[in-house]
Amino acid sequence: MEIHLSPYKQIGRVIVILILAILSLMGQKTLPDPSVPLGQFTATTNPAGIAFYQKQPHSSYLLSPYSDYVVIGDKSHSLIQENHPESAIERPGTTFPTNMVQQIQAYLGKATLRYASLLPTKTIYTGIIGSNTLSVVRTYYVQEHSQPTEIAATLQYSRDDVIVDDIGMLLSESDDETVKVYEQVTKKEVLRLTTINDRRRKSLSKSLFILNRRTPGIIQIKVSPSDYVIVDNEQKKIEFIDENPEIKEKTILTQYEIVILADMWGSTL
Amino acid sequence: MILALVAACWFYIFPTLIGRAVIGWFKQKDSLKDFFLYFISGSLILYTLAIGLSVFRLFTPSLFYSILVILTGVSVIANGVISSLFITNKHHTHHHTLRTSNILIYSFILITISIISFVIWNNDVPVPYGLNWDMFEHQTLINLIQQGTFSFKTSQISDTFQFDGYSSIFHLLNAIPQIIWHPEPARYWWIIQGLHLLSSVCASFYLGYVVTKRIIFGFIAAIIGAFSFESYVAYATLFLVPQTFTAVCFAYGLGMLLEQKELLAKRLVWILPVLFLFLFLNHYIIGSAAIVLLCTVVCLLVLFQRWPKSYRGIVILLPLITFGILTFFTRFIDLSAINGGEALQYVYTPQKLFEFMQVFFGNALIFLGIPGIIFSFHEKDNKYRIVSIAGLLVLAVVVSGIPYALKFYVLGHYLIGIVMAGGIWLFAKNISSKIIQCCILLFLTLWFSIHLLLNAVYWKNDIHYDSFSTHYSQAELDAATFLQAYDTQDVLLLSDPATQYSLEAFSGMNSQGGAYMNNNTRYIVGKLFRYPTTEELIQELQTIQDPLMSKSHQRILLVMSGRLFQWINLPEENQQDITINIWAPAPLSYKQRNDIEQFRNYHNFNKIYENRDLIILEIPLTY
Repeated sequence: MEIHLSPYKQIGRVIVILILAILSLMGQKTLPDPSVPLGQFTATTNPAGIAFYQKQPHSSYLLSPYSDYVVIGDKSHSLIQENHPESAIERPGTTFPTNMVQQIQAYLGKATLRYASLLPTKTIYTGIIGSNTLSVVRTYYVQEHSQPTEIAATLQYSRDDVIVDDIGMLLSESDDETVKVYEQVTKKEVLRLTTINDRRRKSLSKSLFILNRRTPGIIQIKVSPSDYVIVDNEQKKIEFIDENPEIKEKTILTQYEIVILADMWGSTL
Repeated sequence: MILALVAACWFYIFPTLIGRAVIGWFKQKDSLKDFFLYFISGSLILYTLAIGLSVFRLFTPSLFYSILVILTGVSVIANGVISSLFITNKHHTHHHTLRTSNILIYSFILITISIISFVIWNNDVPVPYGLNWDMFEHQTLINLIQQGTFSFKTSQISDTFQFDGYSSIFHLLNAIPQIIWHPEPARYWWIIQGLHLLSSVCASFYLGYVVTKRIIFGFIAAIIGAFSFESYVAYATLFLVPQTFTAVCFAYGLGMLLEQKELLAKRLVWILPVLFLFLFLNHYIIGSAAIVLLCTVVCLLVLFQRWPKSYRGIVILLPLITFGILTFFTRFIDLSAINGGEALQYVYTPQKLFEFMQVFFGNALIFLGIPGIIFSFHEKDNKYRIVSIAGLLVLAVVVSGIPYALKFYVLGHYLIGIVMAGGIWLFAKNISSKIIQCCILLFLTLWFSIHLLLNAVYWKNDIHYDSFSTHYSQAELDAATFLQAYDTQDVLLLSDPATQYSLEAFSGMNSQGGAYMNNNTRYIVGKLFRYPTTEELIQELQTIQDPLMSKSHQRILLVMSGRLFQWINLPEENQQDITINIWAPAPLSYKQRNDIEQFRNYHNFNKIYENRDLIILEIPLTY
């Protein structure tokens, strides 16, 4: 015989089912750092920052507070404190609702990668992924009584990478074959200038290209208008430097965009 | 695409037509469950026919095609006559019309649930891409059947199968629509897996309905079944492979058995042996387990009829005793001796199993399973209770630590799904408001959709190709099309395990072992670039032999793909490990193309094909 419950009891049972659903979903095994396709690359957060990579040797790139720096007075400081505790790094995936939202965004291919370092001051990296673009916004919270004179975002690049700016100036060490193919495809001549400081080459260009024979796809980086670029050939690091950064509401915003362009190598053969 | 759709439907329709053409004469009317009987009977008839032709060495593509065409014509006519005989029964016609409206509504809901589940899983897997890794080996076998190679043993058809885990019935049933309709295999598999999901959702619904005689319970079971995907080892719903096909047939068989009013009804005397034979042929281990479970169910039905109050003890004791016995005996099994040591890879600790459970459906098994068992004590009808016991038995086997035990969960999918549905029903059964009941069903769909969605994100994390998740690329399919037109006589395909596995399936060209290539072949491919002279390389290549080829090959088509380079970069022990593969395709980089050019020029090999992901070189072995 069916028992008919009062409306309140019926609602009570529905609430029980809701609670069961929440308990069930809380146990869902998820990845702390889901990876999202970024053109021919894959983007993800990892313990060091926001990375994008291919499953080829020497084809991973990292945006990280460990290599980004700020100049206060005469001293340059990394954006993350040395010997910091684990709690100084905040990644999504630690709490149930934010993790779930991030996973659903990853599923839709529109993930927002978020990485924050909390010491000595808060720096938040937010990477918004389109089909082949990664727009990075870095928010640096200025410490009280400090006046940064310079702040730099960096990108660690890989062995064998060739870096050319949009006017065709070669900023990295040369790889003649890669350069030849690039010239062939773009029909632009690459300028191999000998500068005074060959280790750290400077460019005022607003767009850079990273080419690698090992890697299908070309990386284009669109630089923020207020920045200039230094390519450090020894440390294999591109620095996007903002001199006299504008401080708004005690924060400095840095923006740049990474675009993965279609593979040019296939078309040469 | 339409051909693929028709062919995929033909997989289910043709055996059903054959079965009905034979059995229909002995019946007065059709009921829905009869179609399952027609399907398995028809399948067995077709398999017997193929085996017969093979025994007399008459299994040739042209003859088999002709027989299939004749059988199609005859069965269509016979079915027409049988239907007209049924229609003359007025009572039956009236009854049928009344039920048709309900059936249409239920079918619409079940199709909708299946489509939602299919779309969630395949959101980044458009046609013709796919994620069913095992599909390649099955398609390879299907290709060989189409070419006229047929045997009861799969290992005698292709060297991709080194272990006979099932007969070739599953492959024959898939070969028949491909012989008749010639669909593109990749599209065929994409669609038929959607149909398999639908059949699985209907099976959950049917079982749910049979054990409680409540339509709403059927829908709860269908929703849980549709969105719970065991994405490791078991794969019950979204991948069509012999074990999942066996499991869905088991679920229908179990439903049919529970629906019988009399246990010793005449029809069971012939239905059960036919069903058992079909289950066993489709998968020896899972089929046998299914048979054991069905026999257990029969025993429990008898037991509960005689001693109605014995169920409380049995619910708890039987799974515990099973677990204890299996755990005890597992300690004496030498796992390294089973299937070349592969069994060791498939023994999971309780922690790992718990992790899998959380990937599949979070904590739902705990928070719905426990109320589900409690519900079994409340429910007056024994059928739900019996299914619960069978489900707990499967769970006991899964956690017992015997190798490959998680595979048995493919049967558990249907049983545990019913237990979880019981967990919901424990709270929802006395809710009289239809609106609230509908809301609960919608909420359940949302809840389990999220589980499936998160499961998909987790599972697909590392198999991206451009913006898709797939085990093969369009470039590989294009290469396979090129190879189909190539002279396949005395040629062997060679590449890394994954590339040759996929190309062999789509092109029909033979390789040594596909993804299960032997150690010698792995060794040679692993150091392909390290042979100092062409003579040495060719001498090594000559040692690659497919034991099933009647004469040795004279040429090798070496497929140098992005995957091959990734595989060559693996440590040697990983190259020798059959469980490690390059799961996603990869385009060739400029450097890799350059390396191939240098390799080709050095050895003076011909390049016969090239695209974004691969270059094919022809290597004559008569150097």
